[in-house]
Amino acid sequence: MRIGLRLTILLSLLLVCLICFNVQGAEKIFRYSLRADCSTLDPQLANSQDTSTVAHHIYEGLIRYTGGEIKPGMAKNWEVSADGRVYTFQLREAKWSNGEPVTAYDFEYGIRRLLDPQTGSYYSFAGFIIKNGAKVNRGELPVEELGVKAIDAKTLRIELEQPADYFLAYTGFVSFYPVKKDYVEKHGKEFAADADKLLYNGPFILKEWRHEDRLILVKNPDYWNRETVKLDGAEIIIVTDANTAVSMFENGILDLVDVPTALIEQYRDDVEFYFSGADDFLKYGIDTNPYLKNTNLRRAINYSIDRENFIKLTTNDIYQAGTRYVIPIVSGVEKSYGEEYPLQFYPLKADLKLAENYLKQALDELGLNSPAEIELEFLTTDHDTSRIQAEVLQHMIQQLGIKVEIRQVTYKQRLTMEAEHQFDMVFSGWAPDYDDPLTYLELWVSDGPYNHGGFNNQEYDALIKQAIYETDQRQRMDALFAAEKVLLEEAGICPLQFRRIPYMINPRVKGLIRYYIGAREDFVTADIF
Amino acid sequence: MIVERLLEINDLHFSFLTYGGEVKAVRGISFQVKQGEKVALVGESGSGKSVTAQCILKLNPEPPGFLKKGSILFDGQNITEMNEKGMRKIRGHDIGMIFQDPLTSLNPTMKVGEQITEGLLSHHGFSRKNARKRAYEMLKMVGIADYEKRFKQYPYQFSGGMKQRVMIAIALIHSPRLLIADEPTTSLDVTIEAQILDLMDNLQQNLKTAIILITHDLGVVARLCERVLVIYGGKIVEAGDIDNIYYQAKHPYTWGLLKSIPRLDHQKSKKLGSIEGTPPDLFEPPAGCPFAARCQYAMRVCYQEEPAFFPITAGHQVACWLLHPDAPESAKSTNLGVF
Amino acid sequence: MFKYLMKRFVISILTLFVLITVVWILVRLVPGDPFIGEKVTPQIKLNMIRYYGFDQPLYRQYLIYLRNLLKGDLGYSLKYRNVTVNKILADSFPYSASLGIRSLLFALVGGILLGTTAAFNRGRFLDYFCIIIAIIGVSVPDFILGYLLQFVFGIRLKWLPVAQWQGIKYTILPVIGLGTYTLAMISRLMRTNMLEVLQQDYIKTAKSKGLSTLKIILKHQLRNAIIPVITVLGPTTAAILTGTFVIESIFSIPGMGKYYVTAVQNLDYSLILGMTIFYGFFLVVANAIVDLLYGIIDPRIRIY
Repeated sequence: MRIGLRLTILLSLLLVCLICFNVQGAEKIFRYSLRADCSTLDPQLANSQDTSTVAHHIYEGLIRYTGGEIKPGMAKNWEVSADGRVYTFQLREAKWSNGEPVTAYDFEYGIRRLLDPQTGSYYSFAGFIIKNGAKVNRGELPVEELGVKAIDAKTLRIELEQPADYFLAYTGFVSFYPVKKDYVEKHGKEFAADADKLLYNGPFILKEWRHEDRLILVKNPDYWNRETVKLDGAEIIIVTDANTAVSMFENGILDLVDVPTALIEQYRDDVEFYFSGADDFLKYGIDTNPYLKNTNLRRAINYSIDRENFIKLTTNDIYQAGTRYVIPIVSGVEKSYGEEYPLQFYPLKADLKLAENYLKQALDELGLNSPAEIELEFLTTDHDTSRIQAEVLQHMIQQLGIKVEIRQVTYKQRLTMEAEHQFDMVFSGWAPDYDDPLTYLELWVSDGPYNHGGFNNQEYDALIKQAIYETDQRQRMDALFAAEKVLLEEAGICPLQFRRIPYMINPRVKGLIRYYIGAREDFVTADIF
Repeated sequence: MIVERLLEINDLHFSFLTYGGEVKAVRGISFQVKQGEKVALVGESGSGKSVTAQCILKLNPEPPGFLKKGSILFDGQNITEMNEKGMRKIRGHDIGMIFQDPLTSLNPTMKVGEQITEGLLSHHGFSRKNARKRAYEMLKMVGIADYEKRFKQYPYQFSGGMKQRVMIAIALIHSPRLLIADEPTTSLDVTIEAQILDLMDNLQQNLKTAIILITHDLGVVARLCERVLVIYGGKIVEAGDIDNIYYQAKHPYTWGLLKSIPRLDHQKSKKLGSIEGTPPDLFEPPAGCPFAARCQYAMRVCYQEEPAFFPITAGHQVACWLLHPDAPESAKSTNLGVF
Repeated sequence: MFKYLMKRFVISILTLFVLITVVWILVRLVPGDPFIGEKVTPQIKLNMIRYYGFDQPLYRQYLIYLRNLLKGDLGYSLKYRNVTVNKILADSFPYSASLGIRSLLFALVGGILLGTTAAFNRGRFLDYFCIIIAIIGVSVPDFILGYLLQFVFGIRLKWLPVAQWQGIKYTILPVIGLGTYTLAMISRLMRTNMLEVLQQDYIKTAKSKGLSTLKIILKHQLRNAIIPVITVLGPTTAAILTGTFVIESIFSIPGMGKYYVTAVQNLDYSLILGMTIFYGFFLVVANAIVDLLYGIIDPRIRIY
């Protein structure tokens, strides 16, 4: 009897403990993983999507950009001048995590810092839209000449080089976040090295940053919009191996995981997709390769690609075939660009007859007898997937009789070679910086810093210029569409695919937003049931 | 109770199971050793003398080796039946053994002193201090002068002769009743050999230890032993007192051995005596006398049947058909006048 | 002894110095540019080059690096902008060391036990069993073993956690994954050596003294058999302690292992050099310790 009593007491204590643990476990923590740790959380030095996604949750810019929508952030309202060049923001009452108020001076300092050549910021080009931005970054003007001014503690004025519709959304981007001057100067080079060397003004605070291991976020009790934050916190675990991440998701350790291509067959029924905005295409070395100078040859190659097959063979049908250049989901004037300006320039399958036609013309113009006289080098990175892509494309292009050699180099080497115009064809791509077709199209102006192929078309340049300075939205979008068509007609590049990422999410998590601009995973207003 | 016969070996048969078959190393050896007696086991390589000696302490590797037949009694106890635990009590304590090559018989990575005191510490619960004292005593006894310094040194710092002295110290540290010395001086040069033999003699006189000396060198035997057992092909062919063997040897093999001892008074032109032929195949030993193939006096019966032991005098026995009453006279009592 | 240590110390410093210089030059010869990025324009690159002092003449950069090195300053990482290389190493090394030490112990104890058991049961079932385990351990690559362990015990059976490093439970699979190869190697060495030593005369002597089998193994056999194992342990220790890419990646352990690969991929000069110095230092120290250990175990090999 005594024993029985003791046992009962013990068991009930155990039960109570279990319940307590469970109650603790009822804290709403959202867990997901990153392939690599954020290289820095300094807003002006951020250079990766991982970093900007985390930054989106611990800081706040003038506006908050969520799933394509602009909502007020640190700025409670704003005005735009008639010519679209001057923005004036009124800031709300908001506090940094150390209790000090967020002021317009913080924004002024942050944006100046972005463009200051001494900062050596990778993303300083984001600020070139601001008046004198490029000149300041080149050191031609002092940083005080930048078109950013704090009128008073709560008023910020930004002047642009030319009107840009996308600029407002851009202010929600990490490069434009505010930083406190005295705090940065106090910590010097150590600023942002650790969780305790940063100030936060966003929905969450970075409580702990165990480098290469995990980041632990907790709800910011002083956030001005804290009612919209339902989670208690988040845990971001660094998991370098994609397969391990999936295993952790299966075991309930992670709530969200991207599924690698290799495992897609197993999980095809369980995944959802989102467009990452990444646009992959072949860049042509137009100004260096004598054959590729010929537009018809490029057209021939572009039509020889069977995009449907390419997607199936290299991505297991996960990505979407790129039959045009600009990704259709970017915003148009009122609806999406794709809805307002539909276009299927290339057929899903190859059009070999058309390709042969163009090839013949090209051979004539180049004074060649046979396509076998043309040898092109296909440059790509040294990953296994790159090899497969290259081989598929090589096979397709060689149907025309052209000889294609594959060359694989390291990623950094590839980028260097591109920058130095040392390639014939290179498997390249672009990720969007803001929600507008221009982010993809502005690359190809003849004096563009990223136009490594040397595409040079006056009509194209004119259309882009028009789009940049045009104040009428509809006309502007028309010009951009026209430019896209020119690029495709002149075969400036060879579009291949738009990336879609398959992922799995814990059904108990609601309100997670995945978007191709800004935060890749946005859990500010997410909730767990 | 002190038993007269310290060691009794009865019809010992010991073989090794190998890939080639069964190697019959010992094929029926019997002898006794009295308290304090000094016995020599003489024979050439492969005759089975080492195996016999190692049987006493069960040092032969038992997976390939196995006791086919026979028994060994020590102090009246049947030690062939004894388990490992019992053997360990005897080893080092009642029976000590020293081996042929002192260079490899000591653990090169362990201090000499430690190797001497090992047995004391584990066996008999000596304290470190007492064990060391005893070790010093032994080192002094075996003639190593600066024993305190030497105690802390490693084997590589000792010469061959000194190493053998250490081995003797180790073997005798418990004052065992029986010391088995397996070719103790074979790898030492002659002057050192003499010293070691002197030492063994002295120690034996002091401690009254019985000694089984295994050797192929009759010169060494003469120096130290009272009785000699001549072994050939896994069997004893002649057994007798030292005088019997040296002056009245009756077995052709013993004659061969005696003849092959180099002597100072031999003329230079005279060839060294040797025994023609090779030892018998231990896989298929001959049915008859093991020496028959090499014996110039072999008769037909020698090949067919194993000879019995024929007594010559009280302590002298020979296993040879030549001594059979019916053997031809010409072969009998042929003493080649060795001595 | 002191003279030997001094000599050893000087040689080690020289070795490290040569190593650093060679690597310093080599990283700058690798094709590619540390500052290149998808969106880097020449101006941005110029700013970053100035920020890191790469616009100075080479010899100057080298001397500055050496000067900082003597102060113990390994510089800032080129990729992790506000983090010093010292901090990166200091944060990640404890994980690698923890994993490494456990794996080494596992390999050492397991290998000695396995090898000794095999030697003592030569020709019997246990011997063959141990040999098979050793051969499998040496032949199976670590990434296969790692994934296999993770899959079987973490996903299928759910006995052990799939990844991370947060408690004893988490250490079991990675330690097995990392230590198995060394365990197999040691066990084969031990088996061979133990058998060889078993043939030696001094074992017979020891037995004739009446020592128990256990004592003979521990005091006489092990000491002599273990010398080749120590030789091998030197560089192995250095390698295991300073992180392994594969196991740490599979089990998501935030150790140093990944930097060996990512630092080179990113052309992060300061981190590459920092890793090299760190690993080189360990290697040099491990080898010195091995040499010292030889002398302790086998007095004939004492070189001091």
